[in-house]
Amino acid sequence: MYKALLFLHWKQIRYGLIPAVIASFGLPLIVVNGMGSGVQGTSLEAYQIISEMNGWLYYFPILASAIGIVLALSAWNWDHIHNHVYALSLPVTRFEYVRNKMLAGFTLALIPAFALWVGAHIAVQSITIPIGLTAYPNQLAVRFLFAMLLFFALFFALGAGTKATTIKLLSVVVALFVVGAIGNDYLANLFPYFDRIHVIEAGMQLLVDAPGPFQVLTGNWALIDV
Amino acid sequence: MSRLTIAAAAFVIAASPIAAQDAPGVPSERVLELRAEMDRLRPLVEEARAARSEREAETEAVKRVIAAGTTAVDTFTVGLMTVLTPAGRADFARDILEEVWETNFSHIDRSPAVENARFEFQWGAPRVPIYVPPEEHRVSMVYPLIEREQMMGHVRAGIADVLHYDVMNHYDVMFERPLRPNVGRWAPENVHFARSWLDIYRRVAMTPSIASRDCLDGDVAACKSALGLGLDTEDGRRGAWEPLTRENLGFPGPTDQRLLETWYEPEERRQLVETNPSLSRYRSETYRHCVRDGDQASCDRLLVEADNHWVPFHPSIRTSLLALAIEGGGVGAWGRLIDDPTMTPEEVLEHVSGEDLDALVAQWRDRVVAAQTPAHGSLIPNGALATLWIFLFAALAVRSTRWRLG
Repeated sequence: MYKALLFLHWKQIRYGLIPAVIASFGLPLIVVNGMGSGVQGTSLEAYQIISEMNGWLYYFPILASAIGIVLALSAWNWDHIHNHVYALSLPVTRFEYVRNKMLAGFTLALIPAFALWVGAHIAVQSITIPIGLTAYPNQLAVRFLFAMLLFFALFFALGAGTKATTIKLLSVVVALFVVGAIGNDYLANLFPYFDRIHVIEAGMQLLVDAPGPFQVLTGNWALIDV
Repeated sequence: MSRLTIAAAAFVIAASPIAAQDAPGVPSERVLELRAEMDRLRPLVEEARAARSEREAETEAVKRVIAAGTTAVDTFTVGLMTVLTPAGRADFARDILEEVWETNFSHIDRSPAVENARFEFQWGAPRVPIYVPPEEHRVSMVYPLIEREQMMGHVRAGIADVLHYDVMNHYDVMFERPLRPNVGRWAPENVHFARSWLDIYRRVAMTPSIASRDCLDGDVAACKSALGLGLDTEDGRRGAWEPLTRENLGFPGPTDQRLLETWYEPEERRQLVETNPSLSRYRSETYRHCVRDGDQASCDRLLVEADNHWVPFHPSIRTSLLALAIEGGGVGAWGRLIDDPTMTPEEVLEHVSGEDLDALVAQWRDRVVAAQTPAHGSLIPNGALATLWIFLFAALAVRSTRWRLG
């Protein structure tokens, strides 16, 4: 069952994975581009190098989340098109079907993660690391994989639901944002507490701080650091 | 073009050769000639300044008349600040400013810069003109209708900026007073905006210097040297942060070879030259020998003769030590900081903190090293948390309503 679902997912996404693999492989190389090698005078500007590199670091979590979302939605694409007839006709429990489908997606997520791991190692080998700095290609690849899997799981769960459920869920989230933004000012006039606390910002902070789901995105994405 | 501009331009032109040629080998007669030229121009500059002051006084008189007719002002004090605000808003302004002062600056017992300033505070309502005499330093704290926390952040920054004047107080070099207190030259960044200790650790770890590496390995003397403290140069000058006067005109004088070799490996000295192309300005052939041919002697000569101390640690790192000294000194520390602008940085640090310099630097090193965190130390807890959420989302996927068949 797992192999069949893996093959189906692969057929669905194989061409879409090409740009994902290229991007994952190339991003570490872009990050170290211009750092030079040998005695090119870069070591004295180690802090400046790190600061300039930080400008590229946001792309790692963005790329990971994008690939995870694409993998998740593509997992359910054919099911949605054909009204889940195939899935419902199979002599397996829903738990088994969803589990194998999810594992197939996890397996395919290893491909761009591996591409990033290779790219990171090549990037590190192509430059001279200034004294005081260390390269972390393995850690970067692992964090990238976790972020990808997280978004895959989230959107996989959204994709598994009915359209009605998904629309309701997204509407609730959007409504919370809108009402929270408008209502906070109104509540601040009634309760001093809301003068100091912004509901939306506090909510976002809950999501990205532990134990929120997106904490993995806010960690250190540096390929080279102290 | 105003007379002041012409006179100032002439003064700068006369002074620039002194700056350019303040290096070994320049005939002293030439320097004396140029100084004489500066002395000749000085009365013209003073005359132009007097004329400008007269014009500004007339402008201020007009502003005073305009403001007096339109604005009623409440004046009150918060901490060391004298605050001006439109009439009727004093209570509101006082609450905010007291909170900011008590939270951030309650340890400040004395500050000439703050005491001489007049803080104009307005928030939200349309701005009304408040007159402040020109001899008093107006600090404008006028904000549109922004969030309270954001506004209080601006207020804090504004007060910190004014406090920074105590450390960086500028005097006109033409009147033969120090251009800047020693401690301000040694730690020019605003101590109230000191960076986090983690950031300081990162800067220290990434400083390519023998002294920096030895400092992290536990050598307190190396830390002091890398901070530019306790330096004894070969020509007998005590320390490197002497007050700037008319004679030295702001250029600290050459660094000696012994110090450079203490601080940097030969390769690192060569890279210092490569990353400072301005060194080619007056010794272009020597610069080429260093950069293109890799001649170490040429590199060292450029560094020794340059107008720079080449102290390994960045000013932000030095400022962190000053911040630690103030923190340890408690209430009254700020007042001691500005007691005597001619004190060397070493004397200031001991005077402010009440501790021996070696002990203070050791404490600083411990604080820096303690701030070290593994670059990817959060990966495992982040990964574990992400795994839990993945399982949760998987469970939600299984529980989809689509799958409820009876």
